[in-house]
Amino acid sequence: MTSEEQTYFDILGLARRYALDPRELEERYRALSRQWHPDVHGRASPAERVRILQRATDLNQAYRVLRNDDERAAYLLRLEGVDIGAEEPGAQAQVDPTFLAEMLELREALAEAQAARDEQAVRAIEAMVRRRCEEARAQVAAGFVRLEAGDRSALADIARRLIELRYLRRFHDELDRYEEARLLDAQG
Amino acid sequence: MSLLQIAEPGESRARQACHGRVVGIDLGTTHSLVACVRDGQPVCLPGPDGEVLLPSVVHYRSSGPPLVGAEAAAMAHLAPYDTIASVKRLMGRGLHDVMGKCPYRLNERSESVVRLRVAGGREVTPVEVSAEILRVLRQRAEQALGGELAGAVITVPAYFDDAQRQATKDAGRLAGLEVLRLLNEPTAAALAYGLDRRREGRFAVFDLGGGTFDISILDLRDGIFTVLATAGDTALGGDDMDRALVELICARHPGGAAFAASVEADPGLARHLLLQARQVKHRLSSEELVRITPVGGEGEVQISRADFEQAIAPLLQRTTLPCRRALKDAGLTAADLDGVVLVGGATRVPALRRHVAELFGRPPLCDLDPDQVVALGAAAQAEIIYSERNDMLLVDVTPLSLGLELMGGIVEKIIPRNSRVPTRARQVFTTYADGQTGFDLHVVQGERETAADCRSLARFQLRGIPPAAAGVARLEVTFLIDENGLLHVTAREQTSGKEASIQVKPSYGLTEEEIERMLLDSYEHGAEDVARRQLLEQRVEADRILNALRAALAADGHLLEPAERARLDEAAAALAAAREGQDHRLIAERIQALDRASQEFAQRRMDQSLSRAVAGRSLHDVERAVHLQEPATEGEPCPG
Repeated sequence: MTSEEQTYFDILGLARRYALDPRELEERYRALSRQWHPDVHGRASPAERVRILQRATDLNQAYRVLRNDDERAAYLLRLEGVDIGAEEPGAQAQVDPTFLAEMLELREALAEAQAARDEQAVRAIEAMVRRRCEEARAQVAAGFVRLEAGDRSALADIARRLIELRYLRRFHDELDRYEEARLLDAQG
Repeated sequence: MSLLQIAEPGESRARQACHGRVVGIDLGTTHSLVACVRDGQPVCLPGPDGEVLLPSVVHYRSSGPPLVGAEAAAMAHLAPYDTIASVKRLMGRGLHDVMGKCPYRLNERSESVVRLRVAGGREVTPVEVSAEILRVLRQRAEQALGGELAGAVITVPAYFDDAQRQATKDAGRLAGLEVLRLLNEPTAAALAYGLDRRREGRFAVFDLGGGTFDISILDLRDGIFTVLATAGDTALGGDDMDRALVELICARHPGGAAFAASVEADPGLARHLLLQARQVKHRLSSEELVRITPVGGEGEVQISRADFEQAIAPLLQRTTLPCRRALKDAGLTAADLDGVVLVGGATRVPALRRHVAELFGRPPLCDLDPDQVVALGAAAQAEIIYSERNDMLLVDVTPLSLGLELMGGIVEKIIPRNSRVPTRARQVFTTYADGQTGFDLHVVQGERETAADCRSLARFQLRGIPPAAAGVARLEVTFLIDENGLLHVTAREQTSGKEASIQVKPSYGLTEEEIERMLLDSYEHGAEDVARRQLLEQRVEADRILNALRAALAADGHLLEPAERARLDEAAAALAAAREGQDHRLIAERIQALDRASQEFAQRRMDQSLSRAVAGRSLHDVERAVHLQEPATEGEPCPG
């Protein structure tokens, strides 16, 4: 049993499905950390420590991916042979053109609001982006319900929503950077 | 920065010999401390002068060993270039980082490492200067504990990058310390607080030291201390308040511009005035108005607390953004916290306490001595690591995102900031030209989108890829951040399975050869019987390994085939024979040989213990897991 053969769900002893109880994830993580964290093996031999480090990094990696809804979804897709992780030029083709148009509009609106220092408008855009994220995540969850009931046509739907979420997250990051820059300005 | 070589030969050799004499060290910008656990309670160890705080100042003389601490600090205004203070600000930094900001004589040809010209025509690096401080603390601890130390936990600002951490670890090695762990300062403080007050919940640790600012958000529950997020500024601290005060004093001085010019022209005077400013700062924490007669001029200057607060307001403001970022990364708001802990001498400033209270909407906790709390936590952690307890555990994060420079100078993040450590990322690269046998990789740390705006860690050259058509060779590179926050890199060619050779050119810091040369020098000067010591250490290590193997074979010998068992026995007998001889190199070789021979056995034992651990799951879960078991998968996304 090497790390490559195990899924992140195996590592944490969780069922391989999208729905997840964050408390259960946390408790499993904590129990396994008590076993594999390098500090618990402070006096192990160097060779043992390399192996323990491997276990501990597997555990942290698994935890990081599974804890995050979007990453967990993308990982499950990858286990099903659908890789949306790679940012190939072709990836955009899967995105609904109306969605792209909407993003362009939002982006223009944001640029205008920022140029005009219209904070109210910026906040409205932020609320809109947050709502769109929530909608997309609800659709991802619904897609997994279908997939886990055996409907493989859900794969493409989930992939599309996840790619949309990537755009939305990036947009959100930009809003955040703007907010930080504004705070810095305020400091003089 | 290193290649994956966590198994440093003989690294753990000294640990057994010293009967648990482990310490925690706070290597601070202005002061350093050493602490140990006595009767279950961490305590700071005082020096011969009765003080636990050792000023982090080193004075070099034209001959003889350097002075460290208060004696050195007393020389600052007489020999400002030979008296190095706040060296922590120079750790892991390059020449262009410190040019114009550093009051010492620099070797201007040394780009990647700062080299300071000091008395006696010598040049010293910040690593060596820090090692002098650590050496004094080591001696202090060895005297107090009655013998050689088995290891030390050294604290670093949570926001330190890889180069700064590596430099700290190098300084520890140079001082003859076995560095058990680099521990983040706010995490150490939280540990001390949590243990002392048996508090549980979510806490922010606001740590403003002499030269660095850290903010960490932690969750303390059931003996596990989890860092949820950390942020900070490695160039912000109490020192900056002192400088702001110097400016204020110069501006107010009756001598006018002439006084300011005379301070500028005389580094000894500038250092003296800085010390005076620090005293003013301390007094203003309890007094409303301070009158002083600045050195180097006629006349008096008055400074009120309000003047001071106005002067440092921009510095306080600089803590706001990191606090916001840390809370956001932790997914919390200030209202979710159960408390805010203050650490670092600079948090004694009343204006700062008000600022923190305002930021977090509650008065901060400051019932432990902010100067000592980090060292106390480090001592507790040293004890935890050394005793291999698992009822108490610290889970920390990496403060900065790790990225690779792509074409056009754009950074691709491969490990996001605030990932729990140890962690790793794997990237697969492919060749873009026929017959290509190498790659260059540039690894950076930071949050900005272009490599030029991030901190350069190292350039890697990967060589030895078998020549093939473009896109055939697939090179898998693993970036691992260990529990100390240090980066290790390995590369493997996937189609041939060969380890590719990597050459590392660290952007900042010393090479392994330089460290070894310094170590050799220090041995010569220390007049220690190196060979005898090495032999002793290797014998101890041999005994430890042989005992461990005997115990493992007794417990789990059934996991081995007879032929495998015979090979292990043979390697063990060879080591036992070498142990009786005088050749420490032979012992080391046979330790490694036995280690290699037992790897498979160790792996099987671990798998066995894991399956026992998993056996606690419900039957339903196991069935599902078996049912859904898919073919092997690769963990990370693979560009290229």
